[in-house]
Amino acid sequence: MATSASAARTAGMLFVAPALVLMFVILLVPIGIAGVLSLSDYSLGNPGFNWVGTENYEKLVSRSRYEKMFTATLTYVFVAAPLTILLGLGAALLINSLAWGRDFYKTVYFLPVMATLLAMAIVWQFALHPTVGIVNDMLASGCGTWLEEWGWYGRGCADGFPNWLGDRDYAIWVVIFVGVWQGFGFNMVLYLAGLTSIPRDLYAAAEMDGARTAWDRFRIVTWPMLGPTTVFVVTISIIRAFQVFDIVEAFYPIGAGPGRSAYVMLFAIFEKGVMENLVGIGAAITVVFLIFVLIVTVFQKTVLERRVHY
Amino acid sequence: MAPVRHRFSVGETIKHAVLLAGAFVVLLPFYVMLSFSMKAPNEIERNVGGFFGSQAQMVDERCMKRGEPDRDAIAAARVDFPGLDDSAVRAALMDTLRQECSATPVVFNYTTAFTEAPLLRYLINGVIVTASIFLIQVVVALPAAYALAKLKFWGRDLVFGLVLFCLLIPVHAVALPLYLMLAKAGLTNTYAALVIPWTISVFGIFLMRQFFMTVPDDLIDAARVDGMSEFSIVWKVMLPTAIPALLAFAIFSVVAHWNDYFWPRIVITGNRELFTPPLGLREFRGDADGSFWGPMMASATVIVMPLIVAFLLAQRRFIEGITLSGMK
Amino acid sequence: MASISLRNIRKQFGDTTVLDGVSLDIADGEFLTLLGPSGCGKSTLLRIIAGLEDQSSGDVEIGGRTVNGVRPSARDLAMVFQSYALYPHLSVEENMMTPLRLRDLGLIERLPLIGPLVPGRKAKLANARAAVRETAETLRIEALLGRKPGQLSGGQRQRAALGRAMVRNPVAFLMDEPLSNLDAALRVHMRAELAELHRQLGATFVYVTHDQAEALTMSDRVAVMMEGELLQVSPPSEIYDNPQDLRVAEFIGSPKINLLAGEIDGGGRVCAMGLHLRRVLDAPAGPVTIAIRPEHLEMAERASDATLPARVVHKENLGSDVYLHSVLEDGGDGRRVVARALPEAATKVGVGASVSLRLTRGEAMAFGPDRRRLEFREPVVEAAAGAL
Repeated sequence: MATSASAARTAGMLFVAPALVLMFVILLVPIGIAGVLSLSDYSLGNPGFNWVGTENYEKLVSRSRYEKMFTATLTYVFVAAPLTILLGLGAALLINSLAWGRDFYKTVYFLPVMATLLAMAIVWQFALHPTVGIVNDMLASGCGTWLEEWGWYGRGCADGFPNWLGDRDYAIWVVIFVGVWQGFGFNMVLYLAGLTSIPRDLYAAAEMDGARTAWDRFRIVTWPMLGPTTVFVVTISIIRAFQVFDIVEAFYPIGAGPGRSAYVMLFAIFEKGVMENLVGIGAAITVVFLIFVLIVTVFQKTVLERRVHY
Repeated sequence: MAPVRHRFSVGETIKHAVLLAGAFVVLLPFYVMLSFSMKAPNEIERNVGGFFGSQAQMVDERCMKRGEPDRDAIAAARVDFPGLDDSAVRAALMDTLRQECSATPVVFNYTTAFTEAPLLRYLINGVIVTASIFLIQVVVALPAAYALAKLKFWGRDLVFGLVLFCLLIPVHAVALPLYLMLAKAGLTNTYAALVIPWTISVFGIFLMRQFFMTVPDDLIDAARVDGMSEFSIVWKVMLPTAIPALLAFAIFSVVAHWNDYFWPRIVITGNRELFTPPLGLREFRGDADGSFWGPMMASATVIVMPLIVAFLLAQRRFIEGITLSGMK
Repeated sequence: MASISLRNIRKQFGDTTVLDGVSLDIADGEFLTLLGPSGCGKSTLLRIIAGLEDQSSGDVEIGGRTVNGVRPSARDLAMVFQSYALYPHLSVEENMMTPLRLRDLGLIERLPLIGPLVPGRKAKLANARAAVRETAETLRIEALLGRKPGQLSGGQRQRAALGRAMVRNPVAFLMDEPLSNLDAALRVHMRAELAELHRQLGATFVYVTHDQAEALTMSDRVAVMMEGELLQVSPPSEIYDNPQDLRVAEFIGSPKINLLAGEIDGGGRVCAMGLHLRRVLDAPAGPVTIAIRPEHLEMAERASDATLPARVVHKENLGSDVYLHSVLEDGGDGRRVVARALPEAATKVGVGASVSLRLTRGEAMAFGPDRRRLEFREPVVEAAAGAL
């Protein structure tokens, strides 16, 4: 067997070699490159470059453009991620408790996950068009009814409903809306899988123990048993939220929204690093982006997973 | 234990009402997309015509402009219309042209989608890119996963640790340095640029490794006793056992890369021949004016539909595949 | 403590009838076992008693109170599940606290954040904690209170589940195959412990199992169920010695009881496989099944018209006894019977040997075509020659 074992050893190293090389070249080396270039004023096509120290990072903290970037990104992450999680959980709980029609809702809610986001964002742009969009059209058809009592609605009826995409008060919220629209079906499916894997006996036990209300059952069995699913859903939702790009680019190919209100990080990397060829600042944003992802992962490993461990 | 479920009850009705409201919002853009792809520009602008539009014959202005008879054409056509003066000949020619350029809006929208932009080319590119990515991912990941699961060699734990670490890096995050590397290598605006960053799927390695861990060692030992090399074990023994997992991974990979927009946007600039479907759609929008909404929605429909239809046909497999990342 | 009465319980799932009119009275403090093969409806019956499932018709009474439609939590019963159904995210102590919290704390006191502000909550919790300690001592699991179910062995989980059931002093305990996930040795041990616990608590136990050894060793009475019907409710010895239904006779006992096809003649005399039985039946002429346990089938010195000729095909040596698996010859249609022999007698017999088997006097049982038991009686006139 000695020859076989040594053959396995050689084969083992041979088999992982391509993957190992690619992991280094495509994932690890670029991180190093980003780190190095973030300290320079490098530009593609320029013969040389200068070291500029932490100047790029100083720009990130001092310039209002990047303040807007962080505001937009963190607003998106901290609103869109919780919403996709809560809507995913809510939809899963509702669907799971249905006597019939489960498959229909599951299919419908999952459709946006499959659809090309860029295309759907463009469609939303049409739907939200201030004059001919179907959304404002439907809102206008509610005028003259009790809905007008509501101040916001009444103002819309009187002065026209908002220019959703063009108004800086609404822009980032519309981006969030489309992001949530696209993403919550994914979380719903994960939660549905989590729900079906809860042993029925636990609900019976809770019932015997005196759980009377749906809230009791949720608190004693459902929510704790969904713990591992929730950890995963929270992590992936946050990391996906950080990567929002398609919607912003579809809505605002130039400028990332009125007053840069939707200037998210991936868009900034693209705009600075690729379009404007300001590689140094793009690399610095890349490094900050990676740090954010790292923080989320550390949070997952240390705080969340420890709490649901059993 | 949930209380006995009744088919009709107040609670059940409220749940359906809430879920239907949600379904309405979810389906709204799909409705708009399909509906606009079938309607005439004036119907879209005035928001009339219901879902299908009136489907009244409409004249394609671009077609008219292209076919507008010039002096030579009128001169050449004179023989066909004896006894008419130039303006009458012109009017007659315009009439035939008008007929040629007429179509129902749905036909107009979809033909325009394919003729005004090389939509077919985009779709073929999409197929080429997603298929190459998946095949290379499998060729790289499968042997590595087998080695990590079943072979003992120096540094195995280290490599696996690295795989776990790399799982945390979103490729989109390192897009800028990757783009610079490809640009330096002169590879931007090539198929290679579209494919290379995705050739390594650490997730694929991880997934297949977890799957191979469940394959009994006896199966591999039996193959070795039969005189198979490690290489043929991977492709002749492990690959067939892994088909269900690979299928799920294929769906995961194809959906992600067919729909990806960020990366193609970075490495493909200007060369339409290399556009993937989302890039093509964006280009379409770039030169779209109001009258082009119909064709544009037709393009969007053509791009979105293949995956949606496949999903509707094999829902269980798709949901499994897309949520694979939830299996960790 | 309370008695439990079931009146004509029926349960249908769609077209399938799971329970077909079950009536049963369980006395206060009794250990009653529902015994039957899987799918016989015994677990469904238990869940109906618990209130986890609704009966299609019929009444459930607990302590003289009709509880149809009453929620499980209001029936004051405790249940031990086959899977134990411990909450995996809670420690053993918190698992045992759960029923007390739900019973003793009001809705507001159980709310997160607001709950702790309600006065009197602390005292209630302290009482509950003391009750948990006490129960844990009874079960000797004090050392495990801080652990989570995932860190316990099967036997420890079993005890924790018992503890959760015991801690709030329910009027009755319902147990759904609680030992079937344990290994064989531990199962035997837990059998003894459960029986002792029952004596100690004096509570009503309703115990579901498919394992006849569990049923026979622990219960005051065994209710044998098959195909949604109660076939017989008797003390364990009766169930074994005096089955009232052929299916009960076949289900109880290992190796299985031997069956011989026979005929009743006009005078109530029985002939089976050429044997004429001494005792007679008060039954009309027709087919009959004669059942005889392996220990009542013995080897005769030599063949006679009171013995069955057989050929040994397999010897099963259990040390204290040897079971001879034999094929009946002469018109036995290859029917197999099992006879118990003492080891010293069995050594003389090899596989393939011919033996003569004799029925022990007065032990054969008869069952009619409807599978109901037919009682033998002593013949009035000493007549038939060569009878047993």
